[in-house]
Amino acid sequence: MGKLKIVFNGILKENPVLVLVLGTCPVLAVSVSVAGALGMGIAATFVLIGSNAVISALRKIIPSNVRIPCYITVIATFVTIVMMLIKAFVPSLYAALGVYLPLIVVNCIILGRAEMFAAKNKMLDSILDGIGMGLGFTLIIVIMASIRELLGEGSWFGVSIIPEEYTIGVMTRSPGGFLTYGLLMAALAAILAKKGKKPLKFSTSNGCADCPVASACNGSHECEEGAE
Amino acid sequence: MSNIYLKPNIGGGIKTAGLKSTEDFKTATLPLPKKVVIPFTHHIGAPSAPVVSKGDHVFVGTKIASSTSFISADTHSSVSGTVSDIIELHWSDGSLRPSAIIETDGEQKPDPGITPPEISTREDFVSAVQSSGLIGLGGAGFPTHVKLAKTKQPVDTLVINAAECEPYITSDYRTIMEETDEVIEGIETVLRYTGVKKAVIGIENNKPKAIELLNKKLNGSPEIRVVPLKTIYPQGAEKVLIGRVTGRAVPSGGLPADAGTIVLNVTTVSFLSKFVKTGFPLVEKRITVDGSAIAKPGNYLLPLGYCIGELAENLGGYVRSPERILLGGPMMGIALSSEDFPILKTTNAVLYLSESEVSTIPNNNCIRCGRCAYGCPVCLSPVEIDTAYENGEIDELKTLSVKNCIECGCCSYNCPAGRPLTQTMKLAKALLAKVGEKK
Amino acid sequence: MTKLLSVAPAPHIRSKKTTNLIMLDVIIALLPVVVASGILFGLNALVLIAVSVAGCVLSEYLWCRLMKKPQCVQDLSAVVTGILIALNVPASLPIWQVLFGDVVAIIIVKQLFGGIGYNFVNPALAARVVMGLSFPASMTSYTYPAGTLEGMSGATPLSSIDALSNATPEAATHLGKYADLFSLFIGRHGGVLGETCALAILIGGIYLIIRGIIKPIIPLSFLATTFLLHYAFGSIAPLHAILSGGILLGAVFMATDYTTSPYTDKGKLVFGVGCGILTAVIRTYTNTHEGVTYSILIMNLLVPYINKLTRKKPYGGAAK
Repeated sequence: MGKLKIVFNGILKENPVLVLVLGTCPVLAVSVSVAGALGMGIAATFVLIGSNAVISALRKIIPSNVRIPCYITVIATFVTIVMMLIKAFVPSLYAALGVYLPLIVVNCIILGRAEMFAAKNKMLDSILDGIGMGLGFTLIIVIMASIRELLGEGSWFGVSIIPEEYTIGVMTRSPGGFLTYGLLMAALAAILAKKGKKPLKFSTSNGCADCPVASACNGSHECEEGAE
Repeated sequence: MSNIYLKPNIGGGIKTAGLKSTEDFKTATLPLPKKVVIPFTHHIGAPSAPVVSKGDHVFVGTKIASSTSFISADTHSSVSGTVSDIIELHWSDGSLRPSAIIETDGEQKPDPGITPPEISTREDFVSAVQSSGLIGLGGAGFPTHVKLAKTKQPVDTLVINAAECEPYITSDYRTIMEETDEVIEGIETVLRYTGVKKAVIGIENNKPKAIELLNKKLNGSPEIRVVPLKTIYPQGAEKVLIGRVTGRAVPSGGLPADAGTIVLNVTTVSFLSKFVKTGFPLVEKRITVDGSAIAKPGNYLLPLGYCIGELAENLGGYVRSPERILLGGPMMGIALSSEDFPILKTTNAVLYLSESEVSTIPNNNCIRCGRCAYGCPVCLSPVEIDTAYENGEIDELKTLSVKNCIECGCCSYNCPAGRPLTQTMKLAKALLAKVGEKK
Repeated sequence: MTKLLSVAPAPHIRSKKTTNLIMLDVIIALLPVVVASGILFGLNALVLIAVSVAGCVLSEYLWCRLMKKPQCVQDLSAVVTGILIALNVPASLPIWQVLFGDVVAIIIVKQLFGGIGYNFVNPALAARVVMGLSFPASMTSYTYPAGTLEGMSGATPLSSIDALSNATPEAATHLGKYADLFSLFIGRHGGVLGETCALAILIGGIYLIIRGIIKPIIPLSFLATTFLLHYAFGSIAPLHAILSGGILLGAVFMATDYTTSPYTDKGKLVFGVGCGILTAVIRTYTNTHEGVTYSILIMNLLVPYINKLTRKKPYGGAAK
């Protein structure tokens, strides 16, 4: 793929949140406020770019059967760096993100892209993929947070817009999160369908090899059934 | 002695308006048609081979098609005249069936070769019945002689189907009222030659006069008993009838003999008694004509092959435009696409229905009310079969016992969403058959 | 003589009871409850019900237009959902909040899953839960019919019955007066629009049974199980338990919804008993008074399994 295409891939066609459906846990948890969402997005992007770069650089050295612990070590290093930086410079964000900050270590997007992309591609491409995926992640989580914060608390980025009597409480709770998530997924699928692009069927050029759930699926190709 | 038979669990069925307005119309006759169209094969089983060709002259009762195996039947001409053509008749299922067009000469000369059969054993009886061309006159069309042959399973009851559960149809009722002696003699004949010990006549209780008449003529006979049944459709369905009058169920995929019974329609036994005395084969049928579109509804004794269009003309024509013409009752009858179709051995009614007598509800989503399952006489779940068929779930269809469906129409009748459930059952059966073939 | 004959597969006659006629019967059965809510809570109640119906019908109409599907409002199921949603909210609920509930019920629970017959839980109850989470204050500020005791802010019979054990004698007499059976029966107490007048609900229920729309199995097994369990647990007087807290509305109108309840008699019995057990347990051992709502929703989720397990055995045995 062209270099720019790799970046846009992560934003739209293979958006990690709405298309690949990876990293849903922080998405649902942190998309309650725009400030937290933005912070999480930037932190995760930083880690993603860093870990993709390093893992790609080391891809020929890491033995296949210990690759997961190696990836996690690399990712954890970057997460530690990010955590320390945020704790020092933006303590309010550190408090807001709470446990989800260290949980970036096991964020499926980062681990998934390490496995699916960085382990097989050159360093520059991996960095661009990290940028694209990170941007996609941040974009969606901020959009979700905008919707949820606006409808649920009547504010945006802390600025009060709608008076409290007119807020809908469910939006800040989990049911509201799932509803927003689902509706956004449907909206993106509709947009992609209109443009003529079929939704992702995990049919990247390498078939099952790129699929993050290949080991669980055992070739039953459930991804291809009814993937409309 | 332990009961080796299954207990029948029979589901709700449906209560329809009886619409038996022709019940007191004595059977009449009509002028002969100019021509008759007689398919060589009316029955279920191996097709019959034609034995006449264009230009042949036939009498009433002349054999025009011969059975090719045991589960097959002969067919005979219902008029005297000349075979003017052999055509391929468009059947309701889309197939083409070879048929003879016979121009009537108006004389109705019986075939001189017909003599009463000589019967001393069960085997003689079976082959004599085979030569009569008799098939189930209740509408199913199964060759009767096959039912009368000796079976591996023990048979202790002859069940006579006089239920006539479909709305409009009264031809069996007229048979009982007008040919009571023949009916009883026919039953006795079957009992004698098959060695079955007793007979039960199952009849819906909306026919009190028939029940009374039969009881009077039977005069407390120890062999033959009349059992009145509640008037619910489909009491006349074979499996349901056996369950109601004997308390036994026919096992899935089995035959009445597996429940120790032989089932014959009441008109079939009446014909049998006449045949045994005269040897005259099956060439005419008592048909109920009804529906508000036709001028003269009633019961008519008609030669086989009478075309529906000519029939309508001889019945006084149409008083209003027919919306649908059915061969059979409104629950299981077949809609004709043209008036050029003839009356068959399996026809017991021709209904010329106007728009107000036919229901069409547009097909909507299933609301999962379960009325179909309540109404199903054989306790299936059409609601689940419908979903499984739509999703193409073969294994689920097998588990749901689609093959047991008797295609009575109760599910479609009940469905508030107007879903064509009976059709779905048939399509599901076809799907399973196709999948079974592939293996 | 060439007439065009219509050709269709058998059967050629159908039962007259179509989906929209069934829904019409349900609407008629709900009229006594609607009238009672108008009498007990005033004109505001009727306005709320009317707005809710309009909201549901409009949502469904617009959805079918937007998604280019065949129009389905004429099957009247949106009207029924609209009435039921309104009957689940207090008379003082702001109109925009009830409209939100309408959209959740029709668009999210029903249409997004495939329309009528495909909703996986009762739409009105799901809307009630979402509204309860979204607008906790307004959903619990019950208004009181004229002639009942004031001074018990936010209390419904259920919460005041709970409080009986800790009440002072004076308050107990108040509570006793408040929670007497006759008041519970005719609805002279606080609550949402539809759960107060037991008499009206029973009339509606009997109408539905006579017209063959519902079978009495679910309501009877639901109520009987709750009655017996409350007697066993000793938490709430059994007769009070079945006359308060929306259980009658739930048992007669919500639990009996075709799509979200089993279709065999045995299945309906299991469903009703399950609802009863869950209601009694939730009411006794948790702080929430929404026992009926959650019990019906949970049992709704189990319906496909109940259907599978309670299928009738086919005549002649299963096909091989």
